[in-house]
Amino acid sequence: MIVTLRMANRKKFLDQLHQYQGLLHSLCRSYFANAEDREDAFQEIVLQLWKSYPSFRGDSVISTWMYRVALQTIFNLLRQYRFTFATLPEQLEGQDSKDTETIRVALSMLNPEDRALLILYLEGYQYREIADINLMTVTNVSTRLNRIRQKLRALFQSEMI
Amino acid sequence: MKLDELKPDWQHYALTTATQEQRSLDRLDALLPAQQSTFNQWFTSYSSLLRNAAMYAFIIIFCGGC
Repeated sequence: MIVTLRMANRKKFLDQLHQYQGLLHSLCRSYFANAEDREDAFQEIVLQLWKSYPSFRGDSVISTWMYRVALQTIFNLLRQYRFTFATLPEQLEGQDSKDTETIRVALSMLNPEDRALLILYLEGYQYREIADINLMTVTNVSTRLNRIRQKLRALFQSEMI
Repeated sequence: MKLDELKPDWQHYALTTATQEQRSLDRLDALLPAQQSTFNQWFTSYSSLLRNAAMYAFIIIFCGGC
């Protein structure tokens, strides 16, 4: 009985991970400079998600919870010196560099925490949700996103001149 | 510049990355710790308790006459 329940839980977790794995891959590519680090980070995030899955009670949407665990894991990994932070996120394989130049340059201007805020904003999360994911106040999120906005505006205006 | 203007670029970047890196259920399953049998889990949970019980039993048996 217990074994059956445990297997059902594992299957449910894997189905959800399979469905939402894309957000983990895009985070890993946005944060880590080489393929080896991205692979190690992806594995570590999956492990942390699995460990904390029993405490996920469905209070938030599963993708919100996954972002929270993934970003915490990424910040922890970046504190270890063997992981290389991608100052400029890597170009997509087999794509023209112009396709994603703007977003990559925009991300390259931001430190890891601000990068998370911008990514969540671009994913369509509301300020309240971004605050919950990053354990911040809504005011703090709003202030920091305004600073990011000003920084990027200055960058792209100077590039246009 | 508005941040919203970056949304299409980000969506393209994220979606292409997700498509290129997509993994099957089997590959994801391989990243999780192997499933232990019920006995193994029980033994792991209670191993320190069993060790302490054995130690006290040993002390009682050998020092019982002191």
